[in-house]
Amino acid sequence: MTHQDYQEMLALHALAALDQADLRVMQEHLATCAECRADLDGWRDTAGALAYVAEPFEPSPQVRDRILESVRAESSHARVPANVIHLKPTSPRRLSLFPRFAAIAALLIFVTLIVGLVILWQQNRTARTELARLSAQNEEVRRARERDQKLLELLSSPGTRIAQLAGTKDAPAAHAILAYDPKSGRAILMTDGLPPAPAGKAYQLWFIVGGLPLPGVVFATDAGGKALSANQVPAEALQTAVFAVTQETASGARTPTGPILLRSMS
Amino acid sequence: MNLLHAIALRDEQALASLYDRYRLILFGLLIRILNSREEAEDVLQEVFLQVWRRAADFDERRGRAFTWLITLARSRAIDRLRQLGSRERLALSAIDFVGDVASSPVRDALRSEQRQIVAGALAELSEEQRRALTLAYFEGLTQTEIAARLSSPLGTVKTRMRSGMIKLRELLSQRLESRAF
Repeated sequence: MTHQDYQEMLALHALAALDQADLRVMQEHLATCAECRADLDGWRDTAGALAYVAEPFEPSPQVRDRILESVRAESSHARVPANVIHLKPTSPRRLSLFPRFAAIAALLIFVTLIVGLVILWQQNRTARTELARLSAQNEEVRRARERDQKLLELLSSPGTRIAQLAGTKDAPAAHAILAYDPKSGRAILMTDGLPPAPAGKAYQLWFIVGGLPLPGVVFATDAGGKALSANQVPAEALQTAVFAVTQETASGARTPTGPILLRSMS
Repeated sequence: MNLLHAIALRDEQALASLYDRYRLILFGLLIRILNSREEAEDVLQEVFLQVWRRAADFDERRGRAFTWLITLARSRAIDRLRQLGSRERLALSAIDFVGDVASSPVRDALRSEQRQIVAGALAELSEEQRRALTLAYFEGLTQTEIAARLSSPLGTVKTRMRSGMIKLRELLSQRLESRAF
């Protein structure tokens, strides 16, 4: 059959008057021929106009009610027919927007969490640093208190000896006091008026017994030239000794190399 | 937005509006085809449920909503008619449609302008053309059944029907031009 043959059958097809065999081949042709499909629409308009010549009649009002009831029943059972899916109604559009908003919201939440974590991490690090600083400060205070306590004990002990050290010509403004227990040898040296030692240098106490210097504590002074350091007096220096202070390397020396800056009287 | 589009979006009110607008012509067509008020009401209900389910199929680029609705209603009615079988179909008395159009002045008040135009155009066809078309359209007969009913050769019936449709289309395009129907 040619395209023209189908064209001539279209008017009858619009009237649904084709026999079964013709109907089948026509449907097959329509599936592949856009021109015939378009022409069929025109013929259906013509055929549809014939409906106007039928006498209009009023259906009973119950028909309207039954239709709307059926539709509501279908809607309430959510039995949406498959052919509705092909539309582009607003509800699917809303649905299609939802994942986009959800993704944005999820991203915002994620970014907020990351920022929050970074802030918490930084705060934690700051807190840890502060804690370490306070701990060190606390430890320093504790040591200072312990030293003061020892100093107080030492000074208030009846057997404690006090040796005064005077500044030599190399440190005329300096003076010091060494308090020590002649039994245990525990000692505390308090100095004043010593200038801060240059970089790499520190002060060192010496116990001179029979002209032989024995090394004592190495210490630094504060900005005011003061220092307070615990010492242990060697046993051989407990009875008779001269106490002296020199400036040495910061790690201390086995024998004095610098001039004597402070020296005890006896 | 047209009613069918709104119905496709599950707007029940749009379906009610469509029903109110077309119930008279659709029910008249169904009565004319089925010749039974009970059957026609039953099919009318089926048609609107079908509209509810298939409104998304309607493509306004391809034709008028009226044509889509009428085609759907007529198709359901003819399906029902064919289900009824030959005995019941014979029992449904065929109305002399052409005579009804030509000799019912008392019903003119009920007739729309479109109805007068279409009936007028149909009246201009030859008796053979008009009879073949109305047997197809309102009784749901196929070309072979019409040939048998009219005792005419199938080829002659096909030619009459096609020439009748061509003439009807010409007349309607002149008279219904720029009218929405």
